[in-house]
Amino acid sequence: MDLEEQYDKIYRYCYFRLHSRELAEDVTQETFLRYFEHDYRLTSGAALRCLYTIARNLCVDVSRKAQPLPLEEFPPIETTEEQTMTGIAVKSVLSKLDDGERELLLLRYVNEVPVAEIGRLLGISRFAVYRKLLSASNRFREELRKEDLHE
Amino acid sequence: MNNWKRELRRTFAAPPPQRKREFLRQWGMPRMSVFRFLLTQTGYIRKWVWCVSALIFTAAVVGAGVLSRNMLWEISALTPLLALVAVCESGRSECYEMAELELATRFSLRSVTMARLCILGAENLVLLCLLTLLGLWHSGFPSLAAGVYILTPFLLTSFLGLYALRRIRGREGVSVCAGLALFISVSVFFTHNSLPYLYAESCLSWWIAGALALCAGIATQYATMLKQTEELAWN
Repeated sequence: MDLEEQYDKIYRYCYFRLHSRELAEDVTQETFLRYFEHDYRLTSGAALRCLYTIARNLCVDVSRKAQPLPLEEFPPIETTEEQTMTGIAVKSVLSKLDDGERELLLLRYVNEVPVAEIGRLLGISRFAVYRKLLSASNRFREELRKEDLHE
Repeated sequence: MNNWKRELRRTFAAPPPQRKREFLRQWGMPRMSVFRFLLTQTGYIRKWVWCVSALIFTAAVVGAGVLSRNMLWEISALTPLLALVAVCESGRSECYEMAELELATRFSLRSVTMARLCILGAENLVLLCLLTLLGLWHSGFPSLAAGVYILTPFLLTSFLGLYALRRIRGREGVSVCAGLALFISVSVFFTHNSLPYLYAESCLSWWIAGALALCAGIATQYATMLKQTEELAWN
């Protein structure tokens, strides 16, 4: 497991659940500390699942304690004007999806977590994950089409 | 990658983490040089791989040096075995269904497979050069012809073995590779007597073309094999 790569992915996951850079980084580090504390390195295939389970539980705990925050604005990575406009439109499309759908899309298509691990993480079968993914991606594409962003 | 997936990735871009370097540094994962990494991987290559190489070399030395015989055809028939052990060793993680475990360790399966391929490739290259020299001795063939006759069965076995190992998972794949190697080995041993026109000077260009095509085929097979290790990680 590439520690650096997973750090970035867990951080991204936490950031989109907590909407705060500071909190996301705290939770990411706590996730890794707990992961190493239990020496999960020995259980190979379960490594990803462990990391995401810890991160998810910590995010739930933190969100319960803290007030929900709007997504922080941060200096964008160099993009063209068209990309910026598209980004804003895609964000608005994403906001129309529910939390579960956003989480699924992030886990599968952005963080590239295997379907089986998503299923275990969410406590549902692989088929249920496929079904939910299909429905979420169809909805996302449908909304994009409405916004004239998807051919 | 579809457009919507690319957009999704871009939208989910988080601000860069600020304390990542300090945090990861505390785990103190010592960096390892490429040479040291290759050296550690050499230790994981099974002993019998080296033993087979040593045995083939010893047989060639005894035949050509001590008994003063033309060993070209014997060496040519033995090289498929050399290819067999190299191919089986390259796909060992898959054969013993340990690939997923290796993927979760400090180095990715891709790096480990690449390292072992480099080690075995270098060892086979040196050995094939030495065997060509031994095969040339007392054979009466020009050096290019001797080299091609020794190399082609090795390349053919490697190519077919890699293809079989990618297609057939587990120990059945190894059995198929062994069968192929044995068939090629026996064929080479008998064809130089029964089909001598195949080894005529006029056919040499075909042998060279075949060897080059097999080299390209092996490169493709290895590239696909390494790509498959990536797919395994995320599917």
